[in-house]
Amino acid sequence: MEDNHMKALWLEACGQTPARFSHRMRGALSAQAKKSPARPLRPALSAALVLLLLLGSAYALERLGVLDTLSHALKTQLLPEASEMVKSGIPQEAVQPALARFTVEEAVYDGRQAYFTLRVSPGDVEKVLLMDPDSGPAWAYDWQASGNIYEGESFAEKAQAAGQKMVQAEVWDALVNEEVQETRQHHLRYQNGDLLYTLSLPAQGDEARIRLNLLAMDIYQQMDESARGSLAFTLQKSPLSREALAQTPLPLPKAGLMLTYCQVELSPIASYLTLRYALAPDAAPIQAVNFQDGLWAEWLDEEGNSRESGDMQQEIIPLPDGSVELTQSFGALEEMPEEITLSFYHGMSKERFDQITLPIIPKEER
Amino acid sequence: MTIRKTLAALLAALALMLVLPPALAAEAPVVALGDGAPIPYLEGFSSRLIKDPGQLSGISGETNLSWQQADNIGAGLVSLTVENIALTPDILAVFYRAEFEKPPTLHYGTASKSYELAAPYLSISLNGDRLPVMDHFCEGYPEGDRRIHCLRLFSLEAPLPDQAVLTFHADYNSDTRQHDSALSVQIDQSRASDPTVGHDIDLPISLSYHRTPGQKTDFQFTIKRVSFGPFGNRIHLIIRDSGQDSGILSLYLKDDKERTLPIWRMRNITHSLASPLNPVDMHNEIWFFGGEDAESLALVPIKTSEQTTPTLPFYSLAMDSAFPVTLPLENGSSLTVKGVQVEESGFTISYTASIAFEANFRPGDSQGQELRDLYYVGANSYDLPSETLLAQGLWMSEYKGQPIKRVSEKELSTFTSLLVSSYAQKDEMPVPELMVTVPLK
Repeated sequence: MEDNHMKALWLEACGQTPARFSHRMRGALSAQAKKSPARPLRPALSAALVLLLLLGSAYALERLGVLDTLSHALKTQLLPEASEMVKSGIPQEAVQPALARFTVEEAVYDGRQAYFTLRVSPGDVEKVLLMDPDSGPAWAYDWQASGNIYEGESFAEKAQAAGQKMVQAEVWDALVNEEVQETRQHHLRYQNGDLLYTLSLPAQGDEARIRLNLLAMDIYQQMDESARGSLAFTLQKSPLSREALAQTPLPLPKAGLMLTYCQVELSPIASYLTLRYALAPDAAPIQAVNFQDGLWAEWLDEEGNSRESGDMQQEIIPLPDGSVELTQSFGALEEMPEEITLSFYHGMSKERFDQITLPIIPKEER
Repeated sequence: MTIRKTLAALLAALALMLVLPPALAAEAPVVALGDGAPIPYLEGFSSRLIKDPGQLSGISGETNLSWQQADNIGAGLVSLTVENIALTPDILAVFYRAEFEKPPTLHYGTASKSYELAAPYLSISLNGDRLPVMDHFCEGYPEGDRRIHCLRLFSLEAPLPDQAVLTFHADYNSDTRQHDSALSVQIDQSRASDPTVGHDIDLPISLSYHRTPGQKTDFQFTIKRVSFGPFGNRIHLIIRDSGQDSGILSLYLKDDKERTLPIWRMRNITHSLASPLNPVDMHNEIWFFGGEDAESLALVPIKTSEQTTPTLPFYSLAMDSAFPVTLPLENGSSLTVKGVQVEESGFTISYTASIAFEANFRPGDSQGQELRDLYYVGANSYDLPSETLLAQGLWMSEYKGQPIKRVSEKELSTFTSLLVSSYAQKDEMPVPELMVTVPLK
């Protein structure tokens, strides 16, 4: 009885299995049943193929660059010119922490974000076992590859067996053109005792002068100055970005807001949307409460679906005049769209408010 | 010469360290526990944190400490006056009132949660050192629009020593790296008469089982003390945290007659640096209802399966049902809904279950469908006198000093059923064969 009840609830929540899916499944199963046994490969040939594949994979992993390790939305929609923007062999000045060495390997700056891969190596391979700041000593050392923090040799066991210190290494904070900026992590990989981070930082102007404040500390020791370090490098903006603006201000009556700024910027790596909005003077108290709670906006595509965001973290930034700014990144677009559709919603209740479509005008046509 | 100066400075510092605590005590007013003085906080108010106010007369004492500090919710300055202090080996209770320069922000309108959040924090040290606190609980109620009566309970890692000096620190000033002011009281326990029934047990326990599929964990912990006091019944545990999930216990509690003792708070604080090679002993506690007459307690470990079923409501309860209604759960435990109250500020469900949070309640319509547009903020608490767990949904908010209701009357009129779900019933199975008995008599 209960099972039937649960089935009914499940059906209610998820609906019937789509007919197309059922047909494909049946087709696949019957094809599987009819398939004749494959001709076995000779053992030596099989072994050679496996070895080739393994070597190829290992080579590919070793060669992961900044564009290969961006977040899914960005990585899957990169334009061909993106690879031409990537710089390596970047001049950098470092004051290294005592226990680890940080090096920027590849970087790219598109005028909105500076993306870079940062390799962290042990100061002394025999004495230091590097960890990312989120992992604990009881976690499995290969948690990142296996996805299981409980199974396998732990950081603590590995460190003890080798007589190593456990050292957490990270970028503590960052300055871009002398201003503190929030670092976003796109990727982390453990690679032969090194850590390989892919990070990004918001930046503006033709040049991004970046200073990373570094930290590499023995987790069982009080932190002292020798755990700190810094790494400075400069990136030039790639001249491939385009921008367009929508006509504002524009009232959003359902949300009780006034949209004061809407900018779209395109680069071969990402498309960026910047919105600023404020509470309308005649907003109702409940709209003010919603604004306090946090009102967000989605960029909808031609089918009305939300575009996948390229950001790991997002935030609404309050501005001094009482309005807020929301900046989001999405996959790259080849052409500047003629219009943009935005949907405003309550961050917690998900209640939907205004959905608007705005013409956007390229900067050079304004 | 330099050496002599250094030595002199060291000796002076040592002398100061020897003299300062007695000096602090000598100047501090004394709170005599058991003085029989009235507790203004309890006049005309029924506290949900106190089992029976009549039990406090032997353990509370009057004081009158006043100071000003910045309000933690941004309403300017607040004047604090500590009126009474009560003490058991398990709990330090501070009764105080807060008077604000301007009406404090009430995050959830007139809901009791608003006053709990508005009650200013207390920063207390013991004999000039850290107060050994594990957890704290708070409640408050208003008098007018600028005064809040507050009660804050601190659960203790160890009983306070006799003649302890408690120092209340006002704001921490980040420029001077000091607290702006500090006021001390000395606690005289010589006349106190404590109704707490406490059992200092120090019972070491080892358990090893697959709590989750494919994951065998060794648990080692010591039942340090079991107590039944005016602020609730507590098991004080020291859990040997070896990392991974060994520092977190999952269990049901029963008495010697196999009656379930509902757990309203289970603290499972772990240590981020703990590992099998570096285990760390962590003080934790379980707060529960009942068991005062039990000769022993039983800890029944819980096995958690992977979640395989959707967490949809399994029961739709009409709001006009004849409460209490008991719903059996598939894992053998049960859930009793004692009542539902809908008020201006939100709704409150009174219930009992083996563990708080085991049950989930959502508003529904007459067809038993969830009202997804009814936006509220969930809050959980407990009521000790009635031994009841409370699940609240708060839809009020504050804007420019006015409470704003997030739902319309029309939306509210559709709230005619309560949808009940529970992770526990399919995913948390007790393992009675691993049951541990804790003798009390």
